[in-house]
Amino acid sequence: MENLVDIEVPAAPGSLMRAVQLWANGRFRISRRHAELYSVQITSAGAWARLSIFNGLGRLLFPMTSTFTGSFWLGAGAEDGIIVELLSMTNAPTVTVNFREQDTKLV
Amino acid sequence: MDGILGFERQMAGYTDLTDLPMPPLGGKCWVLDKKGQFLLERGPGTLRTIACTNAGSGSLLILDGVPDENGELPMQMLEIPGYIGNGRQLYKANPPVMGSWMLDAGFQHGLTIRSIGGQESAPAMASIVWVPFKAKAVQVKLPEASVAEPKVSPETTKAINKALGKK
Repeated sequence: MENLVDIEVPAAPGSLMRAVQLWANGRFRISRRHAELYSVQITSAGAWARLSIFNGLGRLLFPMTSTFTGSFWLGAGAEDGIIVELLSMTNAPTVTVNFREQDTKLV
Repeated sequence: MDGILGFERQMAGYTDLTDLPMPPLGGKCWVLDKKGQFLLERGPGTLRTIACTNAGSGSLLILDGVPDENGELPMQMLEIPGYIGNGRQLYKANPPVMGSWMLDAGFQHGLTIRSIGGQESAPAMASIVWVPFKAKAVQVKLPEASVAEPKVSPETTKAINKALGKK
């Protein structure tokens, strides 16, 4: 995938859970190894926006062709990482992605 | 007429997706984005969730079963206590409804998805997550300390011994 922006997301102390909020158009790699895409929250739908979440191999795990607010629990396996893509004509949606990796290392 | 022909095509046979590998973390995930019948798993497991982000049209059915080569399921009802028929419905949305439908529903025979009816060009879109059953994963051995001795009153012990012919 082109134009990937790498984001390092720390694990919470005493937990494997990680959370990141995204609010700009672009393609963000929030994890670079095997992970579990735990849940997704869309807190602002943006305008004319689309949200797609892929695993690190580029396989689609979560599509939202026209964004709307809501919370989605998934627990989906994501091989080789997680990539979040936000696209919109004007305002990007605001999205929180929760996931976990096998340990708390920052990779 | 097109709709009827489309429906027949949607129900004819099925797409076998059982070769999707099990990820190291989390459950198997597959995105439904077209009409048709799809076999996701053979054998038992747990359907964790359906995250439907576009309702589309028609209906969305999730069945505990494996279709035959014609794409048909017997749809047996639960006439016999404890018997789970091949084709038992786990989830039905007619029309499909957007939302995060958390189930953790157990299935015995297999996992089949039917996205049928309505307009061919307007399928429901949903992330479906499930975990196949692994016998080894549930073989939990309790520590000995947690196994409590049964507490039986002297009267009960006496009655049991009497019934067993013991003194």
